[in-house]
Amino acid sequence: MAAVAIHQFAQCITCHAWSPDHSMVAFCPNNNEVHIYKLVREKWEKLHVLYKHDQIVSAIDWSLRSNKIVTASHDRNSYVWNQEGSEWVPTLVILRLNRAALCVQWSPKENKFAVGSGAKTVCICYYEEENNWWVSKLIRKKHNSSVTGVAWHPNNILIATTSTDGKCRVFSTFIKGVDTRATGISSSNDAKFGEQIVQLDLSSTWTFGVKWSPSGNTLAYAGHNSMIYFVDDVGPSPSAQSVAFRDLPLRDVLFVSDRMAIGVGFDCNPMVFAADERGIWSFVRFLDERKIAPSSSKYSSQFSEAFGKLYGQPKHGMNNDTHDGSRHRGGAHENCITCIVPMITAGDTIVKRFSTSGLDGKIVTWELDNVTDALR
Amino acid sequence: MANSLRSYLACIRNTLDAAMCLQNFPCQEVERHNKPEVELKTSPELLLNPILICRNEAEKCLIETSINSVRVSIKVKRADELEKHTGKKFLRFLSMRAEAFQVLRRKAIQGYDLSFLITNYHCEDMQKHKLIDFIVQFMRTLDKEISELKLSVNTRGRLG
Amino acid sequence: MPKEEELMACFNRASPALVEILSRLISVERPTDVDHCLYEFGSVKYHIQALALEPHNIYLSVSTPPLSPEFLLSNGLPNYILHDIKNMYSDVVELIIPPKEGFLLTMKVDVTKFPNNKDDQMKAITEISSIQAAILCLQLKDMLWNLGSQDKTNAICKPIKLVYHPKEPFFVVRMTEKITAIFPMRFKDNSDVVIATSFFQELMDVGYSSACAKVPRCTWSPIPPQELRGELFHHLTTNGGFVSFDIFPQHVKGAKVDKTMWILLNFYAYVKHYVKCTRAFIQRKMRQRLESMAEVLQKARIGGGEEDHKTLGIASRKGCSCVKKVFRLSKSQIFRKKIQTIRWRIKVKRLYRFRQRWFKILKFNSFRKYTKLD
Repeated sequence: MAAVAIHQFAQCITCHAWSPDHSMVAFCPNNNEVHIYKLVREKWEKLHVLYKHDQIVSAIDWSLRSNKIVTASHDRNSYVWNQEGSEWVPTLVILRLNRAALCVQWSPKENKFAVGSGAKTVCICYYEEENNWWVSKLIRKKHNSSVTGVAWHPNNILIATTSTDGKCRVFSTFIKGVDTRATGISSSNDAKFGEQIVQLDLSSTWTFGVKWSPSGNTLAYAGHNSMIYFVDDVGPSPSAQSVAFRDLPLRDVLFVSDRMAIGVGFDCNPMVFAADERGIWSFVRFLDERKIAPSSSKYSSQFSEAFGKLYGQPKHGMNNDTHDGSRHRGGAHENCITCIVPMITAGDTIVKRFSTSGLDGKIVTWELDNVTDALR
Repeated sequence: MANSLRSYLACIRNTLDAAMCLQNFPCQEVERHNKPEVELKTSPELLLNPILICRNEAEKCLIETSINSVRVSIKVKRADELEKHTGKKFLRFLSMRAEAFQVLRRKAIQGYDLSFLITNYHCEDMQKHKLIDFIVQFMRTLDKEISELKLSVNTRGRLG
Repeated sequence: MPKEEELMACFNRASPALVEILSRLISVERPTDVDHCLYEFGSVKYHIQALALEPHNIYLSVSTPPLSPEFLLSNGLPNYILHDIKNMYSDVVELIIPPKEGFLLTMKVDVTKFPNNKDDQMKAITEISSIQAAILCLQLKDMLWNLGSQDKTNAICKPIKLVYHPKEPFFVVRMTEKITAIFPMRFKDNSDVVIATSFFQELMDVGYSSACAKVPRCTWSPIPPQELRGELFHHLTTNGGFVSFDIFPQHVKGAKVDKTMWILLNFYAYVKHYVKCTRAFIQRKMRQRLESMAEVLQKARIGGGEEDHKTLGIASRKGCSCVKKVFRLSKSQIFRKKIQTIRWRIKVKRLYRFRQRWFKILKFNSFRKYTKLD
C-alpha cells in the first residue's frame, strides 16, 4: 500500500470529494469556492468553479449514483448542485440554520443528506418535488456543542454524529413519505425521527470523524486526546473499545473493511488500525514510510504526556529536549490531514483506493493491494 | 542554569506541539463570525485545560488552548533594576511592532510580559514546527537579549 | 544627532559661535562696524564689537553668572584672576579696565599681532574663545587652591554651592586633606535614572580596582551624603542619588588642576551624554533583534524557508542591508565622538586602561552585530 498519486491543487484544502467514476475531483481551496478538476491526458484541468457560497466551504459530498454534489459552508447554507449540460446548477436547501454548517453526507440511498452545524443541530434534508428545493428536518437540543461529523448507517435510517461536547450519538432519521418501514434493521424500525438510539460518552474531549463500517456493525470515531474509539452492537447495549496512540490526534476516520480502518489527522501520516480475530482493535502502523522512526516514537511519547496534561489526565516524567522536525518531512502530506474519502463505486463493500487532503493543499491517492499488505 | 533553560524550553516545545492541533472553527455564539475561542471564552467546552510551565518563580509560561487558537503567555526574569528596565523596554518595543510577528499579541495578558496568539490560520500558512521553533527561539532570544543588553549597557558604562 | 552635537559642545572649552565669528572677522577685510551680542547656555553673554575706525582691534566682552553665590563678582573679576588671564594670553590680548557696562571682562584683541600661520591663528582664536571656561576654571582653581597649600586654618568648611549650568548646581566641601565634590543627580525620565545609576555603580566598581588607584575616589549613594547636612531641602531631593568625588592634593598639582576642574564642571553634561548614547544604543540593539526574529518567522511560512522564497528574500535582505548601513554609520559616529571624549577628558585623568579594552570590545561588538540566529 502506498501513495499512488500526489497532486498539489491549492495552498490549502478544506475538503474534497470524487465524482462517481473518480475522473473528477471537487475541493474547496480554503475559501468560498468549490473547484472541480478533471484528469485529462495525465494532467489536471480546472473545469468548473462552483461559486455561490460567501464563506468558507466546510464540506463537500458527491453522490455515487445520482451524480449530485452537496456543499456546506460557514455561511449557514447548503446547496445541491446538479450537472445540466456543461453547467453545475445549484438548488437551494432550506436549512433554517443560524450558525455555520460544518459537515455534510449523502445517505446511502441518496434521497437524504445530513448537515451537522455550529448551531448544535443536525439537519436531515430531503427533496420536495413540488417546490424544487431541499427541505430539512432538524434534530435539535440533543447536542451540547457544534456537530463536527455525521455518518449514515447503510440502512439509510440511522445516523451517527460527533460533537465538540465529546459525545458520539446515534439517531433515527425516519421521515414519513421519504423512508419506508420495510427497510432498516429491527431495532431502529419503530424509532421516530430524531430519537436518540445511543449516546457514547467515551472521550474526555472533542470528537471528530465518525464512520460506520461497510456492514454497519461497527462505528468508529476519533477523540482529540489521541484516541480512536470502536463501538460494536450499537443499540441498547453497545460494546466499546478505546485505542490510545502516541501521536497527535486524528481528524477523520475511514473504514476500508469491517476489520480495518485508517485514521488521518495532525500527525500528517495516515494510521492503520485493525481488529484481530477476537475483534480487538489496535494500531498497526503508519501508512507512509518514515525515514526516522525511532526518534519520532520517543518524541511522540512526550506528546501524549503533554496531551495528558491538556486533558486533565496527569502523567509523569516530562523528558528532555528532543528537537525533531522530521515528522513533517519526507511524507506525502506536510501539514494536518483533514479529510479522507473512499474511492469506491456503488455496491463496493471493501475500499481499495482512497484519497486524503489537508492543509498543505495536496490531494493524495492511496492504493490498497490487499488486506494483508496493510497488516504487514 | 543553561540546562534548566534547555529543559524549560523543551517542555514548552513539546507542549506547544500538542497544543497546536488547531482547526478552522466558526463561532457558536455569534452568527457568521470566526474568532479565536481562547480569546472569546464563551464556550467552555471548546477550551482545554491551561498549562503552566515554570522555570522558577519569576519565569513562567502559560499555554491556553482552544479548538481554533492557542495563547502562549510568558513572563521573563528580572534580576535587577537595569534588567527590569531593559526587559520592559524591549518588550514594549516588540509589542509596538507586533505586526512584524503575526503571532504576537499587542497586549500581554494580565500577569505576563508577552503573549502570542496563534490561530488555525497561522497553522495553515506556516509550517507548524517552524512556528514552534520561532516561539522557542523567541523566548531564548528574549532571555539572552535582556541579559546581553544589560551586559553591554554596563560595558558601555565601564568604557566611559 | 544634532542634539548630540549640541551636547558635545558642552565638552568643548571654546564657544563654537565665538570661534566662527572671530575667525571671520580676522580673515575678512571689514569695511563697516560689527556689533554682535550672543548668549550661550541661557546665561553666558558675549559682546563682540569691531569698529571701522579701528580696523586692527576687536573688542570682546564676556559676562558669566557667578560659579557660586558666595563668590560674588559684582565688582568685576578679582585682580589675581585678571592677572592669570593676562598671563594666559600673549600680547594679542589686552584687558580693558574697567570692563564694559554689564560685563565681567572686556578684552581688546589686536588683529595685527595674530600669527600668520593658519594653524597657529586658529589655535589663538580657540584660546580666546575659551575665555568663559577659563574664567570659571580660574574661579574654581582659586577655591581649590587652599587645598594645595595645606591651609589648616579652614579645617572643615560649609559646602559651597557651585552653579555651572543654571539648573544643575553641585557642591564642593573642603576638608583637612581633601575636597569632596558632590553632584546631586536628577533626571527627567525614569529609565534615565536606571541607566545612570547602573553607570554610577559601574564607575564605583572600576574606581576600586587597582588600575584606578590614583584617580579620585568616586562614590554613589541614593541618599544625601553627610557632608550636605543642613543644605536646603530642594537641593537634597534627587531621583538619581548623589555622586561624590574625593579630590586629594595630588589631583590638583600642576597641569592636572585644569583637567580636574574641567571634569568637575562637565560631569553633568557627560552623564547626560552617556545616558543619551546608551538609550540610542539600546534602541539599535532592539531593532536589530527585531529584524532577526522577524526573519525566523518569515522563514516559517510555507514555501518561505528554502526554495521559492526568492522574491520575498530579496526584499527583506534589501531592508536588512539598509538598516545595517545605518547602524554602521551611526555607530561609527558615536564611536568617534566617544573616543574623542575619552581623549579629551577622561583618558588622562582616569580609566586609562579601558582605552585598550575599548578596542577589544569594539571588535567584539561588531562581530556580534552580524551573527544571525541559528
